[in-house]
Amino acid sequence: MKPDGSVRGSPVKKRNCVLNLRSVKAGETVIQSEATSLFLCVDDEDNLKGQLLYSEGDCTFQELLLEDGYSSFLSPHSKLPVSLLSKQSGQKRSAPRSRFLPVMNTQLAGKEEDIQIQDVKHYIKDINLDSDDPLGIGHQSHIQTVFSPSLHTKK
Amino acid sequence: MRVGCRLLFLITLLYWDLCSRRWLTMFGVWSVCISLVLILWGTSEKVQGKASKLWLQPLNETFLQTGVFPSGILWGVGTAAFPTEGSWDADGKGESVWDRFTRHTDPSSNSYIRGGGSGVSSVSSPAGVQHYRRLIGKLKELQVEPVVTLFHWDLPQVLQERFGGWLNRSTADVFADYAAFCFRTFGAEVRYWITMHNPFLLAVQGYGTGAHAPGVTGDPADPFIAAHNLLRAHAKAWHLYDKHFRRHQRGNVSITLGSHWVEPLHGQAMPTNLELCQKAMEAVIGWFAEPIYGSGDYPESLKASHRGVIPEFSAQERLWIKGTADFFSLAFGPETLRVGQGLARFGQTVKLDLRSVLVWVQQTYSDPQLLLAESGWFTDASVGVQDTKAIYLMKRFIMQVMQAVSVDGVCVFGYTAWTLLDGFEWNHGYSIRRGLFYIDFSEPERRRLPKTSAHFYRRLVRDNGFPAENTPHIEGRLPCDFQFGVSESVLQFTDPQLYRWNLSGDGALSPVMGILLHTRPVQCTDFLFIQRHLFLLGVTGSAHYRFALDWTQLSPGGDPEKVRFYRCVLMELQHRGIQPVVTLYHPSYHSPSLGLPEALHANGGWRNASAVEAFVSYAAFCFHKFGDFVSTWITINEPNRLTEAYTEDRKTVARNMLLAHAKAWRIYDERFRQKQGGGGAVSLAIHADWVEPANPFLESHKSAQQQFLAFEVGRFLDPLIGNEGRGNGFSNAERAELKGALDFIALNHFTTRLVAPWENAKPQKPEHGCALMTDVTWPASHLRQALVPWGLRRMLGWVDDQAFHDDQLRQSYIRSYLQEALKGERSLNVFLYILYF
Repeated sequence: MKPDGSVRGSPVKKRNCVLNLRSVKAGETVIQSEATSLFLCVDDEDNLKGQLLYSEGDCTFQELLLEDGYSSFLSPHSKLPVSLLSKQSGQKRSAPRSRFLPVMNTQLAGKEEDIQIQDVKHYIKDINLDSDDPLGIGHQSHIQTVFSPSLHTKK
Repeated sequence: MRVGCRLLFLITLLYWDLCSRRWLTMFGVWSVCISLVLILWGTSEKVQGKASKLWLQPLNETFLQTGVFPSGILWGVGTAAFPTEGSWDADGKGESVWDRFTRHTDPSSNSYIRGGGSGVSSVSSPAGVQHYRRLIGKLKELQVEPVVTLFHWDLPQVLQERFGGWLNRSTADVFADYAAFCFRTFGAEVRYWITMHNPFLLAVQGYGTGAHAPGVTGDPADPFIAAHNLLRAHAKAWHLYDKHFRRHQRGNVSITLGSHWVEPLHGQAMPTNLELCQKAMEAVIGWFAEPIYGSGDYPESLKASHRGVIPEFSAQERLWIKGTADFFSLAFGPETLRVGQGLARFGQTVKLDLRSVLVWVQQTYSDPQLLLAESGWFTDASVGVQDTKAIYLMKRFIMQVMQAVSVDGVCVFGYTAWTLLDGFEWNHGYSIRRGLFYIDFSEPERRRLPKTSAHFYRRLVRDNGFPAENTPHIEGRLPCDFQFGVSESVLQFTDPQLYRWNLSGDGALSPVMGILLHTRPVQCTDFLFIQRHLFLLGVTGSAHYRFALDWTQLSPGGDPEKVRFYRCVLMELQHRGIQPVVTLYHPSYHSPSLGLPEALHANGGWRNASAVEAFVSYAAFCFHKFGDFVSTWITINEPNRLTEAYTEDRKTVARNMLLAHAKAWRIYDERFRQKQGGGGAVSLAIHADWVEPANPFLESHKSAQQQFLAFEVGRFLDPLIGNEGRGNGFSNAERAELKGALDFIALNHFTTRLVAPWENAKPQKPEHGCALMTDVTWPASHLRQALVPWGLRRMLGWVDDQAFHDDQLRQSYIRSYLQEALKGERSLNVFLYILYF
């Protein structure tokens, strides 16, 4: 997310690529840029943009935990998954870039660290031994969707 | 064949209770079979280095889901004295450290323990002895083997006060006297003795963190001193038995040691991680197991980390401690895992893997006979008799034991579920429940009610494991017209974009915006894609190929180039003798318009009735253009999944899709079937994953299953096969139009899930009204789709029932992604058709 509020995917990890995920309610997530403090929101045309003021109807995404551990975020307007592909792009061959995995922030605050130094550590949650369901037998309530590889096909 | 298995009952002595035998009869009475052979396990070398290999070469991954245990295995339930027994000051019982710890009573009101010669043993109170004699007698009457633990943490308070409990060397002597008394008094009827239960927790929580009685904290040396004395106490007791009692009582003595399990961080088996994993095991179970089953001394890593603080065994002591156990007794419970995760994991990952622990013990301590003396998890206090998740945790632990026995050859001779009753759970008090039987503590009668996990355990014990289903393995041939095929979603073809190729960089193609190339009219051979793609198809030997047309490209009007592409594909297939099956509309999240032409999508997509007519025209167009080559059509793929992409008006969406399908079918029936030789068939493909009731002992779960299936599949199938009931709001005319509008039933089946009634108030109840769960014992693909082959059979059975006796509709066409679960993502997916009559 750039300071002007424009949002796009980038193959290079930079400071303005770091986004904080916060859960406000079960299954509902607010996404905010670490660098600019802008909130990730959708506008009337269902495009992503960054804005300073948070509004629940535009800036709260439904987080769907997919069965493979990735998450997808659904637009509060259209309920379609957030995707880093631009709508106009003709790239049909590549993956839709709508599956996300929260990773640890490897960018130290305040420094322009060179990304090649650190490996991206996947955010692996410690098994919760204080829970009476340590293996996740009962799905988290917001993933009661039935997953079909057919609908979520990558091609 | 009736399997002779034996039951064991793990009890601890010290206090007494009106422990009733009626609960035990629940588990059934079994004929006593062969008596257990006492195994004298051999001397062991220091094998610490060897165990590291376990993390280097992981255990054979096994999909073993069925199997029975060896006959003669002991199935049992355990209890501890303090939580189950009654008042501390009745009938000559004395106060224990746990009484004091939980009650903080005024010391002056403490009643001293009456006792025999040593002045300590509270069991020498006649009432106590009588109680235990009676208990053991009753167990034997029921043919339940008592496994008796002498000490489960409830040290007499007077020992703590007068001598400092386990920090004092002489407590070990007091313990030995007590042990001798018990052997003498009860040994005639007891074959299995455990000196103490999980001394690790006692040492660490009792004298380190202070979370357990006596709650001593402060000096880092204390846990080690306590452990040292506990080990000495155990060894004294063992030697006593060995010298004075074994000959005529012929029993076995051991000690129950708790363990956790760790694996290399991030699965990276680097030498540093392996060493740390080994260190983690040594810090918890090795601490006690190495002196007893190993070298006679503490593990090197532990000595090194705590030099100066950990007491030393003299050479003579080492020789004396080594070998003081007749079998290995293991505890694998939540508290040890938790403490281990907090204090002794050295940066590695904690996992709930009982099979690995068993193998680690087998490899580290020379393959001993092993009793699992504590196993199970806990539920929150709010969970009552319907403890569905507990069933699956138990199932998983027992299945892991079964795998260790069947695949790895671990000599497990007994399994103990912990625990019999809900009750006081040490530092967790009453906030968790671990019993197989539920107790409502607010009820004056304190009835014991069997939970569904108790029913599950009973069934498991009766079956002696997980027997394979009775359906015989069938060796047969599928009928001649059974077709194997391969499926694809939407095919791609010409792309008029200009790309910049980053050859020297990441090799990616990035489109140059704003430029569209004019390409010359293509020939079939220009579509290199086709040749290559279909070559792969040929390799699989498939006779059918299913793919989808791209509606967005073929509408409106139908660009001749695109039509030509598809015709090329079809011709090529025909040329190779492969039958095509064509899907007209395959929606996916990959397409921003969900596979609909942009204009329709912008207009509300399937919420708008105009989509129906548009689809019918499109279908007619396709039938016309491609019908020469295609005889099997799928109109819409997985309409039941597509409705979820819409947040509003889902009923309308479903309705429109059904109508669109039916109308398309009618068009085909009226205008194209004859023309195309009469052998054509049209249907729609429904996503049909199977669901099993999560808790097989609850009617409400069976209802949830039916409810789910009715919603998922029935909602679309019923109107088409003419089943009454679900009332989708169709008018009579529409109902007539829908009825019979399919030539065969097409199902997409991938996996099976568990289903239960929806319980929570929030978040919002899903449309199908059920809660989905996972059976964690099922093997799963990397996309976490469970591999459950029998789910397909049950789905077919259910559909068959629904379709009643309409012979025409008994033809079922199924596409299965069974291989997907094993292989992961592939571009070609296997499907199979089953035609049966």
